[in-house]
Formats: sequence, C-alpha cells, structure tokens
Amino acid sequence: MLPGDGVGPELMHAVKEVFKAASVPVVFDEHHLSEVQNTASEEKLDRVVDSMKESKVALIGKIHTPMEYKGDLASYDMRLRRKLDLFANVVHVKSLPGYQTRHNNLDLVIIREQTEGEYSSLEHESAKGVIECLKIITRAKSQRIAKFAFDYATKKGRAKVTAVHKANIMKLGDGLFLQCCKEVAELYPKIKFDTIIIDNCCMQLVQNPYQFDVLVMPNLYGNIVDNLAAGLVGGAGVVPGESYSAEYAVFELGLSMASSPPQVLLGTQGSPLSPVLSISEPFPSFTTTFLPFLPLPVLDLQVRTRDLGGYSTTSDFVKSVIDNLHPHYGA
Amino acid sequence: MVMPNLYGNIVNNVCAGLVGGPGLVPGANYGHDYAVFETATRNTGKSIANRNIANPTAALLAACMMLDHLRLHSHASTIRQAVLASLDDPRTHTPDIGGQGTTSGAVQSIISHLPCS
Repeated sequence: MLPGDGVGPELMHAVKEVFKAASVPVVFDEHHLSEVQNTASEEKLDRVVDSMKESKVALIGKIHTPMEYKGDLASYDMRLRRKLDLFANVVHVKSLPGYQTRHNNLDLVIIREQTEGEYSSLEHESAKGVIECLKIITRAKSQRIAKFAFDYATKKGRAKVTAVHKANIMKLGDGLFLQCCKEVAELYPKIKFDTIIIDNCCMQLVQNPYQFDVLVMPNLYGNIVDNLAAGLVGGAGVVPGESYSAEYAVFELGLSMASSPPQVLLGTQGSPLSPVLSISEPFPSFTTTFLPFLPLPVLDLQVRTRDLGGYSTTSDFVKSVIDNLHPHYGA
Repeated sequence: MVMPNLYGNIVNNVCAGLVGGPGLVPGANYGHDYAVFETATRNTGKSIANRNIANPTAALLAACMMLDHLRLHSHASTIRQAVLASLDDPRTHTPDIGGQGTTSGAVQSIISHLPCS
C-alpha cells in the first residue's frame, strides 16, 4: 500500500476501515513514497519493487508530481511505473446507480499505454529558447498495449475496441501506433475494431459517449480521455483505476496520473469511493458481497461527499458503507 | 483559455461538443499579416457532404467574424442576429442539432430574418 500525498492517506485509511469491518483477509505492507514530502529516493523505490516481487499486488493513493523542475525530467510516480513496467492503465468508467449526470448508464473502458509516448521524459533545449520534447512510440509497446486491449475485451465480453490517435498529424508516431492496433485487431475477429482521431473522440465523448466500448490509446490521450470520461460520471472521486505489467497489478484512483485540483490535495472532503471500488477487482468473492452495498450510501444525499454535491465527510461516508455491510455480516 | 497546439485542438472539440457540436462554432486564425476564418473544429464532414444537411451556422458565424475583422460591423451584426433568430425555430434545425431541416432551408430561414433591403 502506497498512500502518497494529499487525500491519499485518508483514502487508504478508508479502505482499511472498510476491509476491517468486512473481515477481509488482506494484510497491507505500507510504504511511504512521496516526491513532495521528500521521501523520494532510489532506495525507497527499490524497496517497493522488492515488496511487490512477493505480493504482486499494490494499492496506491496518489503520489503527487510537483510542477517544479528539480533536475529529473521523470517524476517519481513515472519512475515507479517504469520500474514495475506497468504498461497498461485501465480505467473502467461506469455510471454510479443513484448519481445522475449529463449522461447516465455509461460503461466505457479506457486503456492507456503508460510507459512511453509523450511521457518519455526526453526533453532538451536544442537552441536557446527552443525546447524539443520527444514523443516516443515503439512497435513493441504499441503491439503490447493493443494486445492487452483485445485480450481485456475478450476476457470481459466487450464487443468493440476503438483506437484513438492523431495519425493525420503525427503520421509516423501515431501512424505506427495505429498500424500496430490494426495488425493486432486481425487476430481477434470476434471483436469489432475501429479508429477515431483524438479531437473528434473528445467531442463525441461529450455529446454521445454511448458509441464507445473499449478505447485504446497512447499515454497523453489516455490521460486526457480518462479525465474527460471520469468527469462524465462524477469526477475524480468515483472512478477507480488499475495498472498492469506482466507480473504486477496496481489498484489506484482512476485519475492518478492527472494533476489533482488543489482542493483534492488539501481537503478532507475527498470521496473514498474510488479506491474502494478499485480494490473490489482482484477479490472476486469480496466483490459479490461488497459491491451491492455500495450504491446505497451514494443514493442517500445525506452521505454524499462534497465532490458529489453533498456535505458528508470522508469518515461519515466510510461509516455508512460499514453500516451497510454489517446487517449481512452479522454474528 | 490559452494553450499550446495539441491541447487547443482537444479543448476546442470538447467545448464545441458541450454547446452543440461542430455545426455551431466558428473559429478564426490570426497571424501578423493575415486572418483566416473557418469552422472551429475543422471537420471535413465527408459523410454528410452533398446531401444538403450540413449546418451552415458555424460557417456563417465565421463569416460574420470576418466581416467584423473587415470593420463591416453593422453587416456582421445584422447577419449574426438573423442566424441566431433563425435558430430559435427548431423546424430549421439540421440533423446535427436534432432537427430534420436542410442546409438550404436553414439558409432561407436566415435570409427571411434579414431586414428588408
């Protein structure tokens, strides 16, 4: 468990409370990593990797990436993801029953390549006042994420995968990404495949998100589309995220790579829904007993946290979730 | 809002989507010497071309921006007002904004809202 910064520790605390109440047989090995709190070092990262080698699974709050450039172009969070080779980020955007938004009954999956693209941390000043920032797209990683997307779609019984790109402008970079997606798509004849340009994709998400099923895309577009889609169903507080490598699975807030608005970093009004929803993924039996109780606190206006228009505190919400657990966990 | 190229492309599209789509929002491009006016989201609209269903609003509003740039303000205002007044009538709405009207129908309606010359 990596609580991180801002609301991270409180959210992790919420998960621990609910797990305790539900008697979940999981023990957390906590590590305190933070770039802003100066507990960021190579040794700490290595210790986390060692811990992961045993456990294979992690739950993360939010490791904040500060704006200032202190000498390392790659953020601490990015370095962790690269060390663990968490190449696939999955954000399952699902409308919460009982919480009305502009578009209801949404069920989209956004799959984002998370280790290359625009986040390659390769920048230099080639001439005075001119910065070159390299966006790296490789055949290997594009094929890998495309295969992940189609495997995910197959496993979860999804009907369509849409590749999001801007290959009309970045003909070689996004062109390669698109080409790899097309090649992989041919190996999965049962799954429909189409493509859309990132700008049109964003417009469509706002006007008619129902046309999408599973979306796969490079790093930056994934970051943007994750945020856009999360905004459609209620924001950063209600969307869980998962990151995968060949060996590890990390569960986290859906928008962990995005910069949090200041009130989320400072406030005590964060919704603990997101990490709670994400942790249900790897524990199937827990999911079937736990998830049915989740909608009840969300429905009740009195327990909604600020981000959902209510006045509840994090702890009020947690208590409500626990109360909803107990009738069925009796003696 | 001001931003670099790619983000601008994305944000343009998100915001156009928020107010009704590519058929409604005009755009302008400025350089030191020239000004170019067009629709905000620059969609080619291949699938709706030559079917008399394209929404003329964005293009007409862009033309009004051009007129303003040329300091023909009264013409710009007149046309703009006619476009907006015409939009009040859902019968003239093209399919992109939920109607069943045609491009020519929308244009006729706009013309009918112009003060008699």
